[in-house]
Amino acid sequence: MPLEPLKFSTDAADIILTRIRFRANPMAVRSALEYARQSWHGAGVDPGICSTGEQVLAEVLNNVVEHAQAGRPEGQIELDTRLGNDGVICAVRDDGAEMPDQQLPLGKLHDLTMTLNDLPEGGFGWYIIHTLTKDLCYERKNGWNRLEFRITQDHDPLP
Amino acid sequence: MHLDSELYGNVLVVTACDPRIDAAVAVQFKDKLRELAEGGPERVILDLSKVDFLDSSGLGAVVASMKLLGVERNLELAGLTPTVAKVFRLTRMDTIFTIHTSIAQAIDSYANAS
Repeated sequence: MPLEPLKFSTDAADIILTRIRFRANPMAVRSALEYARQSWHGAGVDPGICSTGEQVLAEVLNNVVEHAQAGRPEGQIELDTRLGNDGVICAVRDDGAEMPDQQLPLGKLHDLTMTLNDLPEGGFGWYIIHTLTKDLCYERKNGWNRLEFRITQDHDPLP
Repeated sequence: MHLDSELYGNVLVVTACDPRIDAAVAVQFKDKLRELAEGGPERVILDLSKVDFLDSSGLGAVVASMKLLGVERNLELAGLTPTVAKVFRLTRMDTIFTIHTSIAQAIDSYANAS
């Protein structure tokens, strides 16, 4: 199945940074992140955007492995990143289960005024994704999930 | 995931030796830290100065480790690199942990307090 065109990327001047397909397991995610990091740095992407991008992509890809593709190590993930004039545009596609209600999960920060034993050990991922990205959108089409977002410098709350 | 540990008086310093604490090693990290801290002193400091990437699974493993130590014992953090510090700030977990700039400073603060 060919890669679909990016929703935001209509500009022919966009530079393709990564276009890869890999299996849905944690070690493959590590390799994909390493590959993306090198290609972004190699293309001269701003170091802050590189660092934020790696954080966000890690959260997105972990979610795919742990939820959409849970128990399906043969499941596929595609990562497409491009350098536009306003930061990096990222698209992640996978052929796993759809999001609950075909909706993006809300990224809410936990109330931390609680006792030690009630401290959250998870659920930070979507909060990080929502906080560090711009134009986050989700679509389910032909049995594939597609998440798309931008990483821009001016959108980082803690640069 | 490789962890080193060393005892400084009444403080156990555990150093995370790998550059990443991510989803691939989060469970391993938690198990190893628990093993090292078991039966040890009540104050444990986790040295993160060699870690340049922490994802939310890694963060969850650090939180889980603190919980495993229980209320009688304490897990403190030291040597956070900029990207790791940012994850703690973003998720406000920096308000939950005692965070020292370095292991030396963490041990000094203890010596001065006692």
